[in-house]
Amino acid sequence: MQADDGALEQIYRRHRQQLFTCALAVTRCPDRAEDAIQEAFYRLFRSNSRARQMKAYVFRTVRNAAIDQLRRNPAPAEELSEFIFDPGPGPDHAAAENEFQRQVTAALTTLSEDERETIVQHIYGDLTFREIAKIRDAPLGTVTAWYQRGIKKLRERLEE
Amino acid sequence: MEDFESKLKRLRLRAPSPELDERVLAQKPQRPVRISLAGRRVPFWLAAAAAVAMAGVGFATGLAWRRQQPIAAERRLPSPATIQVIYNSPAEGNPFDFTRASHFFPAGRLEATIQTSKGA
Repeated sequence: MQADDGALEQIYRRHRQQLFTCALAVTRCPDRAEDAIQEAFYRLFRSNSRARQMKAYVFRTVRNAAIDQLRRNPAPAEELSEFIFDPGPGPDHAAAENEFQRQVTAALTTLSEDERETIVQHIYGDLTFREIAKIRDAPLGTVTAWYQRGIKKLRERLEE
Repeated sequence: MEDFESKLKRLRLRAPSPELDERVLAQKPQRPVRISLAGRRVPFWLAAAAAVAMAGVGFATGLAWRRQQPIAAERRLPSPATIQVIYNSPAEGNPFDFTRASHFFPAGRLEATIQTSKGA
């Protein structure tokens, strides 16, 4: 039995932005992040699995594809100075917010990979800790610890 | 969610390109449409009963129509036959001539070819 294409499409349409942000957090390159999403859905549309937690399964497949992208192209892509954030905020964007975004980006780069990715997945990927644990194949306690530690560090760096 | 996390969440994210939808969804395989027998609107038994009823109506109508037709008189005409008799045959011993009445019937063997053809 094939994976339910309708359910996959629905997950894609609903979580398109979150999938992209999470992939971007791994690849640090928008083109590679999109390639990873495309590759992941190519696999998903042809897979025979019927995961119980489809959303987590899709995010996990996209993450694996993003990691594959990095392995296949080890040459560092042009690293984004804005990380996962909008590079061109609109004119209505207050200068203070632009400054905050710049500080957050800088602070995020000082965190460990696990902490940074967990923060991105939870805050910007709208994923629960349980879903993140499933995606990362890590114990729930570990995921929570990564997040708490990362947020604490982030707050401290931004208050400095 | 704490204030700090809410503040983080309000930051604007980089959006994927508009082409991503096409790239991803174009990969969706086109599956042949399966007609589910279980999901039929007309159940099998009803379709079969309707088919049998229609066949019965058709048969009865045909029978009634045939009964109303006048019975055509059939005459069986015998098939016309042509008998060809070879007379004055150059072959020796076949000198029989039908063109003239004769009491003379030569001795010997009479060879005749009969060509029969059915009429239309």
